[in-house]
Amino acid sequence: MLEIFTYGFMNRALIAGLIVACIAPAIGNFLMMKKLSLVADTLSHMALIGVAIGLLTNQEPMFTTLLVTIVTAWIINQLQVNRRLDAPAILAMLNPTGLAIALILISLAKGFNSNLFSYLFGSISTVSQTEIWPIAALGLIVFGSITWFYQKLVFTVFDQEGARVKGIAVDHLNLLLMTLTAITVALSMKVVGALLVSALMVIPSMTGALLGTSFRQSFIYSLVVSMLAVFLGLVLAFYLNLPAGATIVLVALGLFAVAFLVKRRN
Amino acid sequence: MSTPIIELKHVSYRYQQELVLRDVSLQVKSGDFLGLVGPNGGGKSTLLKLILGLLPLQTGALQLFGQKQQQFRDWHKIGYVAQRSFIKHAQPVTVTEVLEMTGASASEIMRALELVDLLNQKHKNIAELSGGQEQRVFIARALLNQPQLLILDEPTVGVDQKSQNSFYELLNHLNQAHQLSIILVSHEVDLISSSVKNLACINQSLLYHGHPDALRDEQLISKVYGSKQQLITHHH
Repeated sequence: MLEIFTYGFMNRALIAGLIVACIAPAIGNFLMMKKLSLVADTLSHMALIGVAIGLLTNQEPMFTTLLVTIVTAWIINQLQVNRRLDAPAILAMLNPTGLAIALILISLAKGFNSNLFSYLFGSISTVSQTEIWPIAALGLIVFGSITWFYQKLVFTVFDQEGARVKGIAVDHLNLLLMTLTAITVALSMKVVGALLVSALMVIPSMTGALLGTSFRQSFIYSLVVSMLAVFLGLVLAFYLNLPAGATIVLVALGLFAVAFLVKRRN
Repeated sequence: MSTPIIELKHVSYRYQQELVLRDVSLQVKSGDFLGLVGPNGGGKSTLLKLILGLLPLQTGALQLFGQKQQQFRDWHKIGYVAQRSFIKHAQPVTVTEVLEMTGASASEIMRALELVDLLNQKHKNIAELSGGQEQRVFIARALLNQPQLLILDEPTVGVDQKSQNSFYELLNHLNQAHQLSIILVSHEVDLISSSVKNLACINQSLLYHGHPDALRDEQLISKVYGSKQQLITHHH
């Protein structure tokens, strides 16, 4: 066994990492199909507000982040349903808003900069035993929901109008997808950090799309690639003394590059 | 005399201040192959969306298969093929997957693909299909659950002439051999007039409803399309 896994904190990191590695691209595939990959980016910026509130009020940041991302996801969904603004405009507007509010909150209370830093760039090796259970439970809810509603979600993101005519509850499924995205973003913060969450949602999904010949195959490949990226990223970060979140993202990018070159050669 | 499968009475619709449909009354009988034609922006797609429940009815009455549209729940009786989507998805989606989305069984999917002559393409990525083949995939999906009415919105836009011909042959076959009622929306009256049994011309209000041959009146054509145009019939 690798020396790395004789440490309890690395085992917890691996478990949390693999859970996030499963749900991030699973959601990412649907967002990509819906041309809404930017949602993850926007939610992760808004999530910083939740982190700041948690640190300010001495509450567990994961829960305050969860609350903020879910409320934001519902607002984005409602604005899209009402068609008052188009999706890219809403996302572009919310991105800097999240950062701005978080910065104001941070300036109101000094002294938690190092904590905030870990949420910006992730701190997977500090995942505690008490954090593992909510990550596992919420991860199970996200993955279970995707599996249960898989066909209907695919139909909704692929052809919303067609799905509506077939009697599928498109509005409910859109809301579900946005809620699951919000949960995934909140869970992923500890692993890769707010600034890198969207990378774990999008890069493995793009790699899966390169390797697969169907949506289902792409979906499975993206999960495999993502788990491989988390595993290799953790090992490399441990032995080379690098930040884990950033290493995971760069490994994911490396796997994408390999898939791209292999595909091009074939 | 057969009951109408669609019946509109004095239907009007506004997008905010703009009146798009004015007092449209129309009946579609079982077994009909109706071409719904008119200029772009003339209200065809709005009428379609009202029938499909994608827009709420504002004024007038609309019945589907003898039931009020608001209370209609038998959506499996209607198959819908939307305008061709030119958006290419990042992920590959196979022909079979497009049909699987509906939750149909494998045998139903195979039967539908056989009907549109695409069984040998079932594992292909839809992005690799020609425009005509792509539309056949969506027709196959619409035919799952054996609908009684097929509605197609501008299905041949961007599809080459050869594919269009076989596409209309397929629609005629479905209409005649399978007794499937069809509503085909197009802005090109001359293109579909040789295929359909009846034409309904809409430019805000219903200007004509009847046999396509009667639509030779230049005055009527210019009324529908707003300029002097001549009907040229294409034989598919």
